[in-house]
Amino acid sequence: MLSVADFTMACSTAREEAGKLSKDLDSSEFFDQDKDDKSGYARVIARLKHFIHRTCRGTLILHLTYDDVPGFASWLVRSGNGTGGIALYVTQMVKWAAKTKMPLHVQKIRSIIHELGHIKLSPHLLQNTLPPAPRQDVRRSPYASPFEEEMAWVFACAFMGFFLGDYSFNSRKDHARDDAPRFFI
Amino acid sequence: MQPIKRPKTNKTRSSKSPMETDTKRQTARMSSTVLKSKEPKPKPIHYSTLLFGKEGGVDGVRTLLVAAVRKERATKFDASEIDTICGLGNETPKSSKRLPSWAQIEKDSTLMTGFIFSLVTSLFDIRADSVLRIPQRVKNLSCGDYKSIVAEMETNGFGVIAAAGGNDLESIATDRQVVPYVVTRIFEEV
Repeated sequence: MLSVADFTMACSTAREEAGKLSKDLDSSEFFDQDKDDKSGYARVIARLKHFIHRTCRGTLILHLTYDDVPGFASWLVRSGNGTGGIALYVTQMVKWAAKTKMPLHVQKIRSIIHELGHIKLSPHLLQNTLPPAPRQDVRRSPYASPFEEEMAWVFACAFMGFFLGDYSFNSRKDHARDDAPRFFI
Repeated sequence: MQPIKRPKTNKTRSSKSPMETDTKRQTARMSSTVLKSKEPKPKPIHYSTLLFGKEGGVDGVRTLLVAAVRKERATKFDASEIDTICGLGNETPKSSKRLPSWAQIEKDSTLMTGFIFSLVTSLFDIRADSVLRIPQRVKNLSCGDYKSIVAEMETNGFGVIAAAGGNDLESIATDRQVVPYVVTRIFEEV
């Protein structure tokens, strides 16, 4: 379990990043489901990609069909020292969408922000610190520890929470309503 | 009787943890190995040339990407809608570089980049590996070319799928990491 200090650190990092993103992306866009579903969420995902590319050393987010490690939706792929890409395994997400009815775009947004959390909180995952391989055909991957996974999910939830809070306040101000509870995040 | 001379030892205990000391030793050993080896460094692989050489390398990749998006958008969206939704052309949020509009990219495919393709796939269900048939191309590589990719990954620690969450995924066969790695590298080159 995370300590209070770790939790606070993950949340403050999320707040800082959400604050930077809100300069490009209005919270009402992030949660506007009155718009055409597909293009509305595509805009949010595109803005997230812009943001990550600009603030994380040109990190690209790629949608893949490749499904050779089933049961996982997203990965960091290292392609240089300190640089890499985020691979979204859309095939796996589609399977989960069919099974749980969790919309695909929500899964994509969650996964992207979760991986952003890894990049911000565990930069070593993209750096060259490889331990020796245990066997010839298998090598040891630097993996996120359970602690780092918790941190990245706390980051993702806090990040979306800040946007939702912002939306709820603005919505009350602009439309005299607060419909924040109806959104999938 | 002369006192026995003992070899000098550093009696002050290091405040560093054993883990830290081990890592330092490992690093020192590794760097000395690097210094000793006289083998020439292999040239970095240019993935677009290796996999798309016959189709024109990077330019061939760009043409394929533009064609895939054009096909998808033809019946669904205007070029200007793509600009608005994906932040191309004038709609780009603050950034050091202004991106071209989709209409310009369709006219001149050399303007296509990996980043632009990534943005456009927010709107369409186009997968980076499928559109370029990367898994098939990797399968068709010669044994030597495939080995050189694996060697590059293993030597530099590239392509490692990280952030898996837990040591159950600590060891993933390199073969399973090749496709996502190659896709990432190609899109960085484009």
